[in-house]
Amino acid sequence: MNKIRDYYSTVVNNTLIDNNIYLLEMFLPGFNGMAEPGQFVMIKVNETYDPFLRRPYSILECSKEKMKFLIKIVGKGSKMIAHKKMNDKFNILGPLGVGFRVNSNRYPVLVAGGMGIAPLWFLAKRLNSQKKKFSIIYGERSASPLGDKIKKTFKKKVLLVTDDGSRGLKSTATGALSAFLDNITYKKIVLFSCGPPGMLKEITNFGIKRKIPVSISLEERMGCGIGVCLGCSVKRKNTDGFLTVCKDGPVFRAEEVSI
Amino acid sequence: MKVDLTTNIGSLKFKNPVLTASGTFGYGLLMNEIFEISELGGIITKSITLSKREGNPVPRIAETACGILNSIGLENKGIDNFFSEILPEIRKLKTNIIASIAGETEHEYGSLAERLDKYVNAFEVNISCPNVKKGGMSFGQDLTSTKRVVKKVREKTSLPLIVKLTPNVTKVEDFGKMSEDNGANAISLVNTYKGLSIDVKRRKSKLGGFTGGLSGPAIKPLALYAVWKIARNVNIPVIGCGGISDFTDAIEFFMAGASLIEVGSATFRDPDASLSILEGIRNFLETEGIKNIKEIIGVIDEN
Repeated sequence: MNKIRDYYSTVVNNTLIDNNIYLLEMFLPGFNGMAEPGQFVMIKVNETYDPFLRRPYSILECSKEKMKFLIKIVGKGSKMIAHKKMNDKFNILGPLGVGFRVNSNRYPVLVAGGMGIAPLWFLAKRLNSQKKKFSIIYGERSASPLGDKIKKTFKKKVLLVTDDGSRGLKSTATGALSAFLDNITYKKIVLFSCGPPGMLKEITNFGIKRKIPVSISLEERMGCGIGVCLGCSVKRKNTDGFLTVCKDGPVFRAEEVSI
Repeated sequence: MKVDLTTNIGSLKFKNPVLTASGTFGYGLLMNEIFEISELGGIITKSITLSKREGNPVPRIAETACGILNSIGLENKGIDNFFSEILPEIRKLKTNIIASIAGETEHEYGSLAERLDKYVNAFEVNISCPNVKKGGMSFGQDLTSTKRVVKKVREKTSLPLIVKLTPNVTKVEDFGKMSEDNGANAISLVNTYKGLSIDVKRRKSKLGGFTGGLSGPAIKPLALYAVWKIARNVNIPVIGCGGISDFTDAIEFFMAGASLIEVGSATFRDPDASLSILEGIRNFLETEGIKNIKEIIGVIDEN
């Protein structure tokens, strides 16, 4: 396991790629480039105490001394991070948590909703680099530049669907899944998913019904990101007790957790 | 110049006065992978209860201006798990291990102390958690209950006994005095201030447990005042806690009368905050030409 470190990092590039969504590229001196898809970091927003807590972000891509993140403005902290300029510096703690474990003899189908694309983008990049075949179903409310970017990057591997039918099938990502699986030649499938809680519930149930293994990446409000504050607990399934999203996850097998 | 940072609680010696607050540091094991925690004066464990506790529903954390509202609810796996899984590991750490204990009755506090006696270096009696329905803060808001719990724990152990107080009372100094009179060897304060934060769109509390406990820089002046107030009213060491985020904060607590400090929420922001604060204290004393930390404890006067 890669040792957790706090990297004093510099903004290399920060580009608005969609309405309220930024692609942030960071330089992390000393980072060896090793991280698993699904792992995340805790970004220290600033040196004042407001906001006090760091913010968790999935790693979108990484390589030696570099990391990329997708930052969507949803509140005060994310707004401050999104507005960072080139050469701005702040601390990044990571890589943290447990990422996706890929079972090599099953065909991976990545199901993402909205900003849930971030950890799956990293997984798709990793699968690409390992020359593995896979598919992505990306669901969004309405046709967006982020959807364009996903299509442009992963090309034919991507099925785009929208809630309002403005592009592709008028469907949710999980709604499109059943027909999609019926139409591909692969029969041994594994699902990797990240998105809104309702979507993760649906895909978990889908996996149970169709006897397909599902891994989901969860999101929860975090205090520390390293397993000590117990702020981000999630209930275990079929047994009592809790797991922490930050330390035991954020990626879980769907049968591990009750969501 | 070598600065003397050592201090004592009862018979227990601390190599320096920096401790980590219960509930913010786990049992130290995860943190020890991030930095050398044996550098610290001691660690205070996540509160241990007799039975395992699931804790409160999520969300358990809501951030407020310069602070954190939490409602964890003493989630822990219980004392049996502590003995089998945690104790063998934390006994290897070369620092004082202080077990935080929390019960729903005075007898539970007594049993916890009895069973843990001889396996840890000291106890911190948590009568101040604002996030549980039974026990917790209700003991620390009633003088008779405070007396009963402290007395019961005192009967069961000869280890140094620290009582962690809640600031959610009118006269916190009365609770300090009551603890001292019934056998406490030190007072630690403050636990969190009870608070509320509302999601106006959903018209609901932002926390699954409805109310929470406020910590972080937002409460520091309040905590500092409570420590000052207590330190003038008891003759046992006071451990200051509440929003300490850098070494200057720590020095303020020493000057207000604290002999030791606990670093809490700052660890969430910087995992090694306690270590940086320790280094900062040492540098400050060196720069000021102070040979022994005791020289600055309680130096402020009202005028």
